[in-house]
Amino acid sequence: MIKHVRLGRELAKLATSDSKDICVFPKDDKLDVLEAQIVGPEKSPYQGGIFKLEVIVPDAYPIMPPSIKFLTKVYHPNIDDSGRICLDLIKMPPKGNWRPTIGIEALLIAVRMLLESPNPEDPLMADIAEEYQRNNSSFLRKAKDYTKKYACAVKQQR
Amino acid sequence: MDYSVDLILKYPLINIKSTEKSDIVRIHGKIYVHHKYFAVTLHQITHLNGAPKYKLKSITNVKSKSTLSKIKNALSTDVFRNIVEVLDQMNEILLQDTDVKHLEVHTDIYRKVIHEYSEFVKFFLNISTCELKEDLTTICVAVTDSKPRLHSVEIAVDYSKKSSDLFRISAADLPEKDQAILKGNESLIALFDTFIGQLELLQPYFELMDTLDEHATILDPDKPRKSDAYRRIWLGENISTIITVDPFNIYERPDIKFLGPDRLIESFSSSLNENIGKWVYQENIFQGILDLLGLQEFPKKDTATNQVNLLVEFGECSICFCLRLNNKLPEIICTNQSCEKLYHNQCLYDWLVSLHAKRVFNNISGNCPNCEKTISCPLMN
Repeated sequence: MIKHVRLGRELAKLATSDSKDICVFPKDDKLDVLEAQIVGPEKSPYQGGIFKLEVIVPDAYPIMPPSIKFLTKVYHPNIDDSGRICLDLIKMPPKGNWRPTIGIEALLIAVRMLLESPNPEDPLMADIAEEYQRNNSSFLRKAKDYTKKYACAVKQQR
Repeated sequence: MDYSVDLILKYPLINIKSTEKSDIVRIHGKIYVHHKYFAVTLHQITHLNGAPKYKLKSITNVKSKSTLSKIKNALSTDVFRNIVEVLDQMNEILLQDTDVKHLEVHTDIYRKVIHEYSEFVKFFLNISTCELKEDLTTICVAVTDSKPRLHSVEIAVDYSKKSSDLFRISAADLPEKDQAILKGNESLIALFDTFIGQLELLQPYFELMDTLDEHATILDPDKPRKSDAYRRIWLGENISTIITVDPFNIYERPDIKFLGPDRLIESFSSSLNENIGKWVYQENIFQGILDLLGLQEFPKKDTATNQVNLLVEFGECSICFCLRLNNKLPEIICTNQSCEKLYHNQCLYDWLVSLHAKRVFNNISGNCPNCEKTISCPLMN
């Protein structure tokens, strides 16, 4: 099973690295489910928030991509109510762009970049995407409200 | 000739010469408008009855076509009694040319800047370095505060004359809100005085940030600037805290967030919840933060264990990130010279199969997961 060796290696690297805005660790003792935290990017409506994510690693990893989902509610054109993310890197080709050389850290950096610059051309939430394009100030206000409400509490919802 | 004195006084570089033709007089020389010389040649054609006619032969330095046609127009339509009137008219038109105006010289401002600067250098005692740029547009100052901490600031000179505020701070490493306060001023000393005042006001903030940097292991920012009002501090393997303060309300309780697994955060966040109400105005903010976190001191990270190892070391497979798989070293290397990534046959085969890559005889071929160039490997069972 190459999954365990590789994942172990990735996690060891992540634990010692001083990765600036991302933090990943195994949930419980199993290696199948990881928890990640992303610091909201500066100069975005998500600034000041800490966003929790769940990373589920399939047995076929790294041939198959992990699935990543937000646990913290986010108001974003490419993230739906249940936290699913529209990102080509976490989908298998030919639809997506996953490659086994991409690591979990790189995926989370990509997710953080998605927070920084939404992609309204390929939305998961059509109404938010439309609002993002046509009424950006309203979008920013709502996204900030969500960040304040769900991503800023000292004690977060489990 | 009644105008000749006038001509010498107003246009001393203009020369009048008669030509072979008795009715044409050549007028040649330079006129000086807006600190710039224009070389002109005119012909004065005398008529037996009535005023003389003037014809423009050449003029240098005029870029604008409209200015040129204005001059020609004026010469052909207006009636002039003598050459001084002609030159006056040309002078008038050139004055309106914006291109010419642009060449304005700021001698008065230069004088003021140099004067202010020399006064300024004498006035402040705690300036460590100070430089007025050769083109007199910027002044770079480094000043020490009472600690002493070094602060550098860049002051720009405004040559647009739009407002009386000749000097303004163009760059300073101070918290953001601060820079708005530092408006322009017509006196360099007064402007710098407000800057020093701000530094004085922010002393407790600088003090706290310096104490944090000294006593805690800072993960972020890498090289803190004075404008960075937050620190991400290492609390242990996999756990850290982000402390954000308001530089202008330093005695307010700072914003504290944690990053890490819940089981590790638990003790810190419960301590924070417990102590959060006890925050009072206090002189020692650093101690206050430790109390909030329930710590005696910030843990020190052992730098020896902090060896940055690469995710994939040389010689390892770029898919499983290991050297040996079933006791085999990576057998396949990408032939693209700028890639040259290594893969175990098994790893690459699994990946290509999952993509339904095409099989040719005993090989399967597809794209390298790293560089996307063609790569192939033997089939596995």
